Amino acid sequence: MEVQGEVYLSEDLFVVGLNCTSKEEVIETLSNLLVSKGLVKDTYLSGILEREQQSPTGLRTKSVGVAIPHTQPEHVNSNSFAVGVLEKPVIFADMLDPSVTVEVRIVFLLALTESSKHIDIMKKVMGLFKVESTLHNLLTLSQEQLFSFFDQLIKGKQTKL
Amino acid sequence: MRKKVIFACATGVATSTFVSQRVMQYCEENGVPIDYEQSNVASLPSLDNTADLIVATTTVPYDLKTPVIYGMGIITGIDEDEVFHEIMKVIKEE
Repeated sequence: MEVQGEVYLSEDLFVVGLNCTSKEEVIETLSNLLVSKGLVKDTYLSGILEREQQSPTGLRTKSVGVAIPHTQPEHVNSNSFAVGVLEKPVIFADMLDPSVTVEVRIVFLLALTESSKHIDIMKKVMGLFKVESTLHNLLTLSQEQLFSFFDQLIKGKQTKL
Repeated sequence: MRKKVIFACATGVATSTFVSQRVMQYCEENGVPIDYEQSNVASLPSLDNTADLIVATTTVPYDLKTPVIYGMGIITGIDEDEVFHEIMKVIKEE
């Protein structure tokens, strides 16, 4: 497991070619990865689903729809995130206007502790969302390439794709 | 006097972190540093009138005296310049 600036990442947290039919299915698949590594608590999944219901996290970008499910720090042990790239979009509700649906191809399941250390993750990961070409390119990567990109991104060695 | 901005999202940990960092950097680069606080949206009524501006990335379902600007464009890049422009208008007000 890679430890970089208190962010835990490993290749198996990055999944490509996901075949899911609902946001719940993607979230559960990615959440299981975080749970199995002890990065989040057993209550994490229900915390995420509850929060997604109350305040959804779909983001309409200029290109590929993304979602950033996350929940209160009490459900999280370590700063980390899992990324799922979907074969076909699943529907999330929009963060600002929940009555609007967003077709999401990339899900970033965030595990954030209360510590200020996650500022850096947020800056680097969310900084990608406004770059159309980067989001498109993320769809084409293998699991190994996807992990490698985010590993380098968090280490500050790569900023775009 | 420095203006104070509250950055609010649903949990007060994720999007408001990102948006606050970007806005603080922008304000500093434009020579008008700000004070800031992060909050979850549910706490906003109790913080009303304690700041000059609220920048939110989730719907604010309250009638507040403090002006609210939605900062989603700072994440998605859609109308980002307009969002920064609106924020600067409030920050630069005498």
